[in-house]
Amino acid sequence: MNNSRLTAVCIERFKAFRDPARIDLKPLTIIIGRNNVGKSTLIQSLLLLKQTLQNPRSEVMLSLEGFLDAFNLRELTTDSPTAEAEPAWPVFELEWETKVDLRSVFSPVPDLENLVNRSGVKWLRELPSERILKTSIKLYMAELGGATGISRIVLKSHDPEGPCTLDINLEDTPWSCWWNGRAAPAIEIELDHFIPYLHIDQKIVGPRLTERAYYNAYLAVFKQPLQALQELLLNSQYLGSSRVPPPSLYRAAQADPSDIGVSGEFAAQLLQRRKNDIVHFLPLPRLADDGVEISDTIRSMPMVEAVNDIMKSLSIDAPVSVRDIEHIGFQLKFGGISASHVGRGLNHILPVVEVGLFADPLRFSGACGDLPLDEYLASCSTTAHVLLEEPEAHTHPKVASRLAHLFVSLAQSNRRVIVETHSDHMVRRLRGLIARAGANSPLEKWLVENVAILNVEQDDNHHATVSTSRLTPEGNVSDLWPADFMDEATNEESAIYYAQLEKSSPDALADAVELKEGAEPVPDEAP
Amino acid sequence: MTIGLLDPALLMQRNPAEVDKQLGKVLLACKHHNIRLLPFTEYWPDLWKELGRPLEAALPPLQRRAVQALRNAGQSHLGQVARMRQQLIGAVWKDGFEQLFGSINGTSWTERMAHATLRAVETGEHVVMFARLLEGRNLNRHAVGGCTLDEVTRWVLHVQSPVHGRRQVLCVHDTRNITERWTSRFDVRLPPATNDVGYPFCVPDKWWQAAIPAWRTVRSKPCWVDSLDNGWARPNVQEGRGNHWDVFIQRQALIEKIGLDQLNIVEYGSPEGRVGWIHHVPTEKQGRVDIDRRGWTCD
Repeated sequence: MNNSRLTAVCIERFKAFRDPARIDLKPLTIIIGRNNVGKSTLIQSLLLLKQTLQNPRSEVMLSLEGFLDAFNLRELTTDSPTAEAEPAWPVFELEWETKVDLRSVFSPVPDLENLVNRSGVKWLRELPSERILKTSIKLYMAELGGATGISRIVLKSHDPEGPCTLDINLEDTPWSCWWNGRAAPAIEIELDHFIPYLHIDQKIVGPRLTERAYYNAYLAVFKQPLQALQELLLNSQYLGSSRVPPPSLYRAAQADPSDIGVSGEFAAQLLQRRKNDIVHFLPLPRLADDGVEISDTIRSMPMVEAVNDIMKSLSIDAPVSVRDIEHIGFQLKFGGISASHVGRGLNHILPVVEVGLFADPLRFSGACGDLPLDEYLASCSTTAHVLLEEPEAHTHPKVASRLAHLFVSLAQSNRRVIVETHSDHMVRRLRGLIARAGANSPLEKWLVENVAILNVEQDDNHHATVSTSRLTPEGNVSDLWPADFMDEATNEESAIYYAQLEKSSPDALADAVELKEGAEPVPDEAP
Repeated sequence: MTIGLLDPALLMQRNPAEVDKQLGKVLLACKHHNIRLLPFTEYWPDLWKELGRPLEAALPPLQRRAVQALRNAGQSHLGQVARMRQQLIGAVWKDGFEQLFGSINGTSWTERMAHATLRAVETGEHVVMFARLLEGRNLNRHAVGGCTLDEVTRWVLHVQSPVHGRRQVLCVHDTRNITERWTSRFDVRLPPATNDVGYPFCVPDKWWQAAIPAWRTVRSKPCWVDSLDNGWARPNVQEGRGNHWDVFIQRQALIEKIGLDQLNIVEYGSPEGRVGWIHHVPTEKQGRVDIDRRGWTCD
């Protein structure tokens, strides 16, 4: 299993999104929109699934406690239906790609002709050693007997050489499933939260029976992608927009933090414990007189050096250092000053940089030095998913602009980054990067193909819609132009300028300029 | 460095795509040729107050950016202009200024542009006027069928400074005018006389003097006329489009040397063919001309 990556999220009847909204995810996905239109909802849909998988009780189908906290499912359902109503409940659908290893799926290998004929999965006829599969899971949420749960799960494999559907009804007793619309009563279903696992009793379901074929097809088509989805969601890194104020003295963590923390609360401990361990990153694109310079070499260096390297590229010249105080804890310093006494922006940006480095699939392995990007990408067995809310908060416009460089470099080096932002500086710089990139250059091509800009809006009934645009080589966005986001600053500049014109009146000078009548000169020299 | 001045007609309201294209050309010319749009107080504040502001308000967001970028390009040099406030003395020849700036949306800009131009010339730097071609003002269009010729009727302004003497200010409507100045009067699609061009347009001597004719009718078509007396006409297709020139050779000796009295020569900027070489030879004339041989030089 290799490099699973989310490719789309669809939500329906979830918070402000009443109508189905499909969000195609790219390596770098930027979400913009006004306050309270539903930007965070897109990230929250993933967080809801992540927190469910983190719940130690596997029978909990949906956990409403954690990153996204709700009293009940009605609170998360569009228009918050009353307790008396029997509403249509939210529906989530995730699409993802997984490279599956098919060498050890079957032991022994079944009759493939029989398997293909009954399951419809034609590509299994040749049984390749590996294949990239595009899979989707659709979760129909519901209140079941007063508890939040899932009433139906639809799994689809979108391979053109044998698409197939596994439909699981969780309202039946016992739970039932259909393969391509045909009932499979002999198949047993087990749920690990919302991830379904199928079982058969091989003594009862013989090797040439239809349900055996369905089960074998499930093993090849769905089992590894589902495991991959589980890992992908569990390993995704989320960093919200608030930060915990830094203390003057940190307690040393007893164990390695497994993430940065929703509010960056583990960022200092992570840095302290891992300061000398190697992380890998692609240097940020640099603006040059004649365009944009990009690197194709991954740098490998100790975490604290990597943080400082990136901070410097973001134009922050206050190197981070960790000062251990034996038996007591440690101090985090920016340029020699305790983190508790520096500007809020530095404490806000440090976890952003760390989360990008922590998402390195090869983190804490290897040695110092440079590594060709291709070699690095080939070595990565997973793709990290990083979800960020307002990473630009409290930062100077210059830093906010350069965050665009950071996200491009992260997305180019096997991280999938989803950023919710209010920063026109950051989005403008993304546009600036592609506009400055040479025509048909690798960077231009990469940015066109790998950056999505989602604009979330609400209609008069406060229902949210999302439109997806790409960057164009000229530095525009391909579809809807969110004028109130992109043009707010420049329009204000215009307004200021014209107001200045009204206020100022240049000194009148007694100029002596003659307007000569008659024939014009006939010079011998060219103009 | 070169100082650029803006023709107020560039900021007249019109089709947004046209505004974007024309202002984009100005911005690119400034970038590539180190031209500074100095915001001389003689015209710049009025330019934006009277024309820039309503234009910007009328444009959709995407096209508005070119206007904003143009204004910013000037504003960034405010400090340089502030040091120049001193009494302005000099003269301009009224005809050119009156022709270009006598009526912009019904308002005369003649004096303001005369002062701004003189102020720019006083710096001692090279000066160009970014001018918009407007039919009836500085452009006459001649057409016979689909064959068209856009005659530029104002390509230079004349100024006299007490310090720098008489100076000509080139009126630029295309980036190519800056590197090949003769194209400010002649069509920018005419092929230049460079080493890699086999059939160049040979620019008439002293082309900038109004008395030197730039075009005349040859074989019933309006043609640019070069120093070899060749007539260069647009092909007789809609609006003279096509990627070549119909070149009518007038001199008998040249006709005999080439083998034909009419050639189709690839225009400058053509996406197809080799600029300044034969575009195609009609079937009935094939074999009479060696298409790989240089036709003429301008020496």
